[in-house]
Amino acid sequence: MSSVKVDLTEIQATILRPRPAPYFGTHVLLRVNDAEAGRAFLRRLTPHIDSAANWWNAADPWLEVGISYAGLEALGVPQDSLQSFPEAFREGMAARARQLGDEGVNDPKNWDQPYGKGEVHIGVSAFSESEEDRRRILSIAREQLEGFSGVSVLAMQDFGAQPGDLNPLGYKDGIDQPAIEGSGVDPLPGQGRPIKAGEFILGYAGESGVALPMPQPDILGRNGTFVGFRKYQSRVGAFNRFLRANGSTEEERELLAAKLVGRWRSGAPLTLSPEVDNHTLGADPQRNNDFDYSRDERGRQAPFGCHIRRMNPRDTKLTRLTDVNIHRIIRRGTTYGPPYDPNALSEADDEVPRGAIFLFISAKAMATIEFLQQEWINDGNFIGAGNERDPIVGLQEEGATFTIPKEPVRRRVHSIETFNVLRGGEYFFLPSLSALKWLAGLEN
Amino acid sequence: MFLAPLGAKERHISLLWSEAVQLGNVSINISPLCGEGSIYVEDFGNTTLAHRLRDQDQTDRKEKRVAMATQTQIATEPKSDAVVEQKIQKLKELYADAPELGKAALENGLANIKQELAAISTTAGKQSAGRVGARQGKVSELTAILKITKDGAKRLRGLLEIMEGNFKGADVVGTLHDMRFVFLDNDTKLLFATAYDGEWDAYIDDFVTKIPTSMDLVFCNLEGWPGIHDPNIKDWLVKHQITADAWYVASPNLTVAETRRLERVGKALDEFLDKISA
Repeated sequence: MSSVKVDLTEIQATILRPRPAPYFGTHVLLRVNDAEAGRAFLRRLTPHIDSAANWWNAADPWLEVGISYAGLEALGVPQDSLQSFPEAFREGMAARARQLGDEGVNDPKNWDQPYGKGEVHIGVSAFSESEEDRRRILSIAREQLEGFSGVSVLAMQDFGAQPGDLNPLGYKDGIDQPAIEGSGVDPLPGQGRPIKAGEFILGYAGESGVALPMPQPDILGRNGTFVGFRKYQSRVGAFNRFLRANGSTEEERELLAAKLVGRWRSGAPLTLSPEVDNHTLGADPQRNNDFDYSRDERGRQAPFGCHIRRMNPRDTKLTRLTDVNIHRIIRRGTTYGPPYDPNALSEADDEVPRGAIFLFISAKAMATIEFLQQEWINDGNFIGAGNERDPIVGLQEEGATFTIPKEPVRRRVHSIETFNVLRGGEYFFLPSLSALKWLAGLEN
Repeated sequence: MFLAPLGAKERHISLLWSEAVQLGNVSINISPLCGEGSIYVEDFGNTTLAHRLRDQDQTDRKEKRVAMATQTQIATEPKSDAVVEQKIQKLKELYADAPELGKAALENGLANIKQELAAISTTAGKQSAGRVGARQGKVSELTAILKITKDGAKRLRGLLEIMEGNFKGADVVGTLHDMRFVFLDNDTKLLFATAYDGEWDAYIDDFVTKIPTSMDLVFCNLEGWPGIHDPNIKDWLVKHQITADAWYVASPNLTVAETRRLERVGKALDEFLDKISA
């Protein structure tokens, strides 16, 4: 057993604290116009940032704060320190469009304001269990901005669980997460063996036995991590049309919907319930993730190309040598906009701003997200799915298909479209509490 | 805006498309919602997702045709005569002071060269495999020249001989099309070259955790090898790798996994056809 213990008092709560159910929150994107003002804002905000010391208090609302590379520059971080950050982070998510495969409709030139222009400097996210708590914690955050013109709010996006905790395409999401060794958090069944802390938090040994390169100086990098922030708009109309076009009864449609994701709408995995949904199973965190693919080697329960099998292949035999444990990432999905509407069918429905903003957290978030995009989302070679792409977050090309293995002959669904369109994103650094104080204490 | 009733023939669609393109500034969408087999043409102007997706469809279709051209060698975007002439001119200049053999080859082969140049599609050029290396479609190349340590040559040769001159163990990697080890300059240098699927960077971390001993066993015989666990191992590899200037791949869409799958499918199909023709 490893005796590595993660310093919970230093890392931000959001890294370990699970998303409450139901959840309510807001993302606030800010620009630093003046270095001193930016640092003063951090100084005032930091006492309100929860550490992970009481990670189990998911009932308490909490704030997290992330800073982009442009933000670090704007705060006056010294040059040699800036240079010690990973290249992908320094370039910013928009400039990594090639590596991320963000082209066509997902191209940064099509993104919503204020994304993609190097103006998003600081991201503050509030998480809570109720609408009241959300308002309360958000006003605490806003108070710290009072009297400043040197920091401006670029955008605010409320998010929250929809009725039944469903995402805009009508599914319960965010079930599977990696377990982190030394975090003190008991792994839930099915999460797999705890992964070395260094994969998720800087300054600890990773799966290879050594710590990942850490930004300098030590106090800035240690106990920090990176976040990939990606805002997707869900084309609910297109999704519903697709289901209707490829299933003539409600049962057929729901089965198809489950085959795309790998779970029924309730969250019950196909692997444990291959034929019908099971709401009690879906709602039970002790059971809804407790499976592997050892009895589904041909993809007849969960298709190889389905979303959850791509995002975490578990013991699936992949076509290429892969260590799945070094590609895990903590995912916090935050749903925004009007709730899932099973009767939305028109193109106008697709234009409604509703979707999910994903936060992907890892000590090497940039490398992992770019890997996932290239290898596991926008390609199917790794899992024997040829050119096919992830049906939920993949960027589909014309003529795209989705294969559902079954007896006696596989079913290949045509006319699959891009159901989640990328509207913006950025890479953030999530500093430790000491690092936040160090940043606030910088001088010109 | 016009609606053209359409037979389900691919031919009709491409005909209408090229006609519409000449009108300039239009986008095409074959919408399943309009009912089977109709096509409508619409002006740009709006910036809804729907319109962007339609634009994307159009670009996709164009790119797909070009991509397919590299496989089937049918010219879909043929180089214009002027461009070909320009290239021939440049070739003649380049070869003006070539050895007689070369000059003669250019003269005698001019007709063939013209044909080949005319057939090159605009986007069939060399792509990048990422940080270093060239790529065609899904297949990338890695070429490195590495110094062998003083006693490394004997050891490495011996190892390769024990492996029967073949690294079948590399099957486990799953993405290597080929791999060659060539000793140069009196066993002081090693040419290491491989064709593999995907991006350069993607799986090196996986080698570190999954096959560290295999990597160190072979590469410890090279000067300066820091060990696969070195945090800067990728930088070291980049330093010794030289991107190919030209990279030809016969089937750029065939990954190792896909080739194996097609082999199985082909075999099963043959057996099936045997059965039904019996």
